[in-house]
Amino acid sequence: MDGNWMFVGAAFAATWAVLIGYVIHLSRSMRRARALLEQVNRGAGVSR
Amino acid sequence: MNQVALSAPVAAKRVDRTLWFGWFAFAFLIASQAIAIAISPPDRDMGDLQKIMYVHVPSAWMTMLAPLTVLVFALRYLVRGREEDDLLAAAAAEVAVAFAGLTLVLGMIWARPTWGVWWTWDARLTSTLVLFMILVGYLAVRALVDERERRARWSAAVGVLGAINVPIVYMSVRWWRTIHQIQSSPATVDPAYVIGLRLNAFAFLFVMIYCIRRRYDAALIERSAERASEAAALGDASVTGESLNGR
Repeated sequence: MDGNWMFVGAAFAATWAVLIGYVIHLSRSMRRARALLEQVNRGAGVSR
Repeated sequence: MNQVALSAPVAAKRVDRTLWFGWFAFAFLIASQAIAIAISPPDRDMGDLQKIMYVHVPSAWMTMLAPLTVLVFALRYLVRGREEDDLLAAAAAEVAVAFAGLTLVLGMIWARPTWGVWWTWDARLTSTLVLFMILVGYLAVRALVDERERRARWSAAVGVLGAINVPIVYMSVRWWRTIHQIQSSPATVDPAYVIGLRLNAFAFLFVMIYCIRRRYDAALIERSAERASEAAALGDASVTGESLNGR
């Protein structure tokens, strides 16, 4: 592998790191939002 | 007792559809990158470094497209006052920050072996950095302002400012003397690279749509929880999760 491929590999790795990192952030946001809603519902005395 | 139903079947179905679209978007991205790398010959001048184009250029396009999405929904919010438009603008802004940051990093990775430096205060690089900072400012405004309507109005103004910067970023390589090459597009790159570039552009577009949609879904649920909490505090029995969450 020459030096060029090192930069190409770094670029693709950075892309996937950012995209997967952001998707994980989205999943956490979604989980937090659902937990918050569930908490509010429990406080309001609603059972599913 | 306040009645706040937790789920709405319509909302759940929509979230499921968004997830399926996400799987499709990422599968399409993997396939597009594999095809692009497999079929494109090394460039005469840059050799295999040319392959960075398949991530840098689509990412740069999304960096310009996402703030325009912010602009559309910010203006819609300012005209119609619908909170959903504000939430969509905010979702697009967050995704725009991710793509702008990625574009800058990829540009630096490409610049080092081709220009010999990681960074230079070139018009294209500088205007992209300014766009990134405006978008970060948008998120900062949303984090710092508590009152809902004021937060929406102020962030909409910052969103419009960010979108004004987009044509400057796009035209910077023609308006100023710059080390950055002119805009890459199927019209300006070698025909051998067009298919790979087009495929990856669509792949990035699908990923961007998925991310905005998913962020918006989360924001809707957060809003439902906030409203239900406020309603519970006021003892308003007429507010239900169905009406809040089912949009």
